[in-house]
Amino acid sequence: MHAPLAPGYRPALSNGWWLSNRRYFLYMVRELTAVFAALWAIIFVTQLPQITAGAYSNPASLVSSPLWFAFSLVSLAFVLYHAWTAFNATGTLIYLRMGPKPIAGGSLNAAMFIAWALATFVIAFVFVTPAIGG
Amino acid sequence: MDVIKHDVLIVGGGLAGLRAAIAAAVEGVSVGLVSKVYPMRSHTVSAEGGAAAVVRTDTGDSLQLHFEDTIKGSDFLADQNVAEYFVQEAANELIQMEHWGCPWSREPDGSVAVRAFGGMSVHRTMFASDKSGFHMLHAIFQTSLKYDKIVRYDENFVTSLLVDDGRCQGVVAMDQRSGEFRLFTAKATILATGGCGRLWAFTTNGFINTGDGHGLAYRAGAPLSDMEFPQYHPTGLPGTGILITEAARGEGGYLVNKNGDRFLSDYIPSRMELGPRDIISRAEITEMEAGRGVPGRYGDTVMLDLRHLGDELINRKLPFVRELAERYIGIDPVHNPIPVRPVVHYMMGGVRTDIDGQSPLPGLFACGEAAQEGLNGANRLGSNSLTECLVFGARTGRVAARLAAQTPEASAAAIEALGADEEARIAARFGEATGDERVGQIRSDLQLTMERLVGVYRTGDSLKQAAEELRTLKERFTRVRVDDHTRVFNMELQAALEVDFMLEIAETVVAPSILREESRGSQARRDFTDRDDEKFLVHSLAYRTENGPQIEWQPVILTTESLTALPPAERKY
Amino acid sequence: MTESTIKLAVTRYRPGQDREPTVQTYTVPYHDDWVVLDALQYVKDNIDGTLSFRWSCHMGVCGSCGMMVDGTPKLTCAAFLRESYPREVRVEPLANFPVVRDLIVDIDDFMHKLSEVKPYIIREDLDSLPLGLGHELRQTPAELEDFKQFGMCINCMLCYSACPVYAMEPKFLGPAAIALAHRYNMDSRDQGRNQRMPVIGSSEGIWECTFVGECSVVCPKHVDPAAAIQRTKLATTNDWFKSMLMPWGNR
Ligand SMILES: Cc1cc2nc3c(=O)[nH]c(=O)nc-3n(C[C@H](O)[C@H](O)[C@H](O)COP(=O)(O)OP(=O)(O)OC[C@H]3O[C@@H](n4cnc5c(N)ncnc54)[C@H](O)[C@@H]3O)c2cc1C
Ligand code: SF4
Ligand code: FES
Repeated sequence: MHAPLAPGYRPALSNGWWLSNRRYFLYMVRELTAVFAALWAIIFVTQLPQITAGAYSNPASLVSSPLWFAFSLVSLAFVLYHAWTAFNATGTLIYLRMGPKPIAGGSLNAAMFIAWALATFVIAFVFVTPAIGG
Repeated sequence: MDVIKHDVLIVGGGLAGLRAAIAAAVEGVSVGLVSKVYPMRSHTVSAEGGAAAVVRTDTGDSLQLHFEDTIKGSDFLADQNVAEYFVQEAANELIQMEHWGCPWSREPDGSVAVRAFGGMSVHRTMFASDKSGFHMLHAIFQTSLKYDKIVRYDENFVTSLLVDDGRCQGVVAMDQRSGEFRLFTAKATILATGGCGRLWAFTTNGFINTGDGHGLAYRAGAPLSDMEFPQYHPTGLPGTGILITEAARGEGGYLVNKNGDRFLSDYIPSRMELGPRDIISRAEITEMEAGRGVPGRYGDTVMLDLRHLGDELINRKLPFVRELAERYIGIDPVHNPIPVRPVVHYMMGGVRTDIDGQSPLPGLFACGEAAQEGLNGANRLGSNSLTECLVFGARTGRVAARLAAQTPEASAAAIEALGADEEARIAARFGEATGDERVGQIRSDLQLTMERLVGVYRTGDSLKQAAEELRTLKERFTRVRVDDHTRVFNMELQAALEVDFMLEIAETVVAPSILREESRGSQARRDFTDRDDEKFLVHSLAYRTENGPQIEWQPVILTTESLTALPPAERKY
Repeated sequence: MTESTIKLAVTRYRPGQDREPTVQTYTVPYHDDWVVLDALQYVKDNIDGTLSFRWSCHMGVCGSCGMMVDGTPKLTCAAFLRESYPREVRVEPLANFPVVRDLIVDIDDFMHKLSEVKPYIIREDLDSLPLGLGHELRQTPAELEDFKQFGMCINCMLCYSACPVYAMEPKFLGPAAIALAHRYNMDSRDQGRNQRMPVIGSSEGIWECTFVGECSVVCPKHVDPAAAIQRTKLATTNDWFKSMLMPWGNR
């Protein structure tokens, strides 16, 4: 407990705070990539009815426009980056101990990347390839 | 001026103060805890090695053994009834800390682990890796947060005790945040203000360890006792004085000289690196004087070699030692020996109290490093002092609470007048102080004087010279100037008040050192090399007078209740 | 031989005297083994007695001396002048806290939050456990490791100073307080998790955190408060699923 406080000041956070070091900047990039991922997914879902109706072979449709292709590429890059940061956080997020030693964070991260690769493989070759008749 | 009332008022938020606060709160009285820093900043936080108690018996340990080690370590100047109570309560207190969450290091079966320490004949020091004090302090501070009866006043600097009617009735404190003076009245006041290592230039003690509590009690008329015994720790880092814990030797580290010899074989072959601190510190100085020291940037050192312990053990049990050595002197102890030299570490002396922590001034108690309740005598054993803070903190808190419950309120008017006087005294002394001396300069000259003349080895002449220099410093201090005239966090004013205390306490160290014409424990006189039980099996008591300290002597208590007392004998290891 | 020197640019603010913060530059001797704190104390003792700052241990364990050094929150007793030399060193009060004076900030907000999270062992039998020889609660070295890291916090506030979320929302419990709550939740001796959860799981607790992660980068004691927060999020989510799937379970 104190006697009443004499006036002080509280410096405000500057608008450019996220440019003040590299890690803050990368954090902002990470947050931004999520926006792209979400945007892409929303557009894709709204386009689903057209896609099932054969929009990919219709040059006038949104999904076959070069703009969408470019946007998808950028989004893919961002999603990959986002996934990379997320999977690398696994060891921070999960603490597992069996017996006397906890499992190293690095191993948990690696497990996530392996699971990711497996999932990609399964989706690509087990579901998608047969579906498009490759 | 605000007046704040409590039943028990505790000055100091270190281990001793917090333990006393909880004990008093459990008794149901209202407790005020005043501290010049947030409690978790108290210097207890820096203790590394551990705390001793008989918590295992598979090591061959017993209460009698802990008792005998303590008495022998003290060079027979400990009060034996006090040491007896201490060893009996030690395990209760350390296990209480365990229940309060202290992360003690463990054996594979989950029981608490113990390590070797200097002067302890078996492994008996409980530890939380090499941050024992840090973990104990945070555990007890965090636990204290659940007691509503404890009201904290952090960053309040106590400037004097209120003595009215022959009793201590509380304190006057300056709230650093506002600069305002406030009165804290209490039926019992406990000083738990820690040590005064900052009287010396080269010390393991923090910047805040200026011995204010010693000064407060002394000015109020209570005697300071055994102040001629500051402890030198054998392993301080050159330059900063940062401590390398004794646990480094407890875990098997070697001390070697320039030739790579484990020189302790010439001094204390039966215990080697695990001898008591006074003996090892003297051995180091003797080696350096004989030209077997290792020259370095800050003078000669000896070397602490941990390389043979290996990096796994060092990382597990001494990680902080590694961190400190790497950061502050750029040496990784896994690969290179660490230069070390004796460093002022602990004050055996303090406010004289009985086993209940009660000082001769009614209403005033003391515990922890600030007190001289009789446990440590002329040389404290490493790892006894954290336990001491708990054992006597708890007892003092309980006794003070019970006393408070039976004591009537003091007269408010008289006390308020005392408070106003104190504020006026400080304003008159420092408010307009425009002399030609700087606070920092006087502090540093004081520290150098003590370092040079009141060291590991002393002579009557060096001590008299010190007394002379202290007089000059006091005279210079009358011309000190304080540039800061603002109120909020006026740390220059606080520093001036601290140095004012330090100049007086330094005299209570020097005066009894001159009169104690013998060598015992940490006082090594080149002109009186033997211990003299005929004349000096006594505690010194320093009382304040206008002309400096007046020294009286008080016999050591040599009796016990249930353990077997240890009659004074030659101290052989 | 002339001594080499270094410049310190220090933020000053004296309530009752200064209207607003200013920067004052001091020239001090340069030593390669001096830390920023040594330089500040040199100023106070020899140049300007009115400069105010906190410190005590000079060994990185009391947590008093946190300041912004060249824009980064650091313990000034562990930040060496040689890291800046020969450039000048910029010393400011810790960011994101109200400044009381010069380099001293107000941390009462944290002290309050700390007691909110109940940072102590909670169990019903706590006051009736027997004491003394052989009566410790057993805890294996592995169980100790489960929480030890989160108990290394020295309350230095560097993490709060690095946290943009705390800067924008001062009600956020913040890294150290949550790390300490997690420390007790993970302690095998503790049974108080359910009592801590209402505060930690509230909207001002863990869910404010967007995982910037800078707290863990600046933490001088490797506490990794960011991990404590993310793990608590995961545990809370697990609890929630369990309570949805098994409403009859005795949570
Ligand atoms: C580096 C180091 C390592 C150590 N290692 C060990 C070890 O391993 N084992 C062991 O047993 N012992 C060890 N010791 C000794 C032991 O740590 C101390 O003796 C003990 O912690 C002292 O505790 P305390 O509560 O008496 O005082 P402190 O912890 O020093 O607390 C003093 C309190 O008093 C307050 N205070 C002081 N003056 C005023 C004032 N004027 N107004 C208001 N408040 C005031 C301060 O704010 C502080 O809260 C070590 C000591 C040091 C320096
Ligand atoms: S978590 Fe780290 S940075 Fe934050 S207060 Fe604790 S020790 Fe300091
Ligand atoms: S002074 Fe204690 S942490 Fe820096």
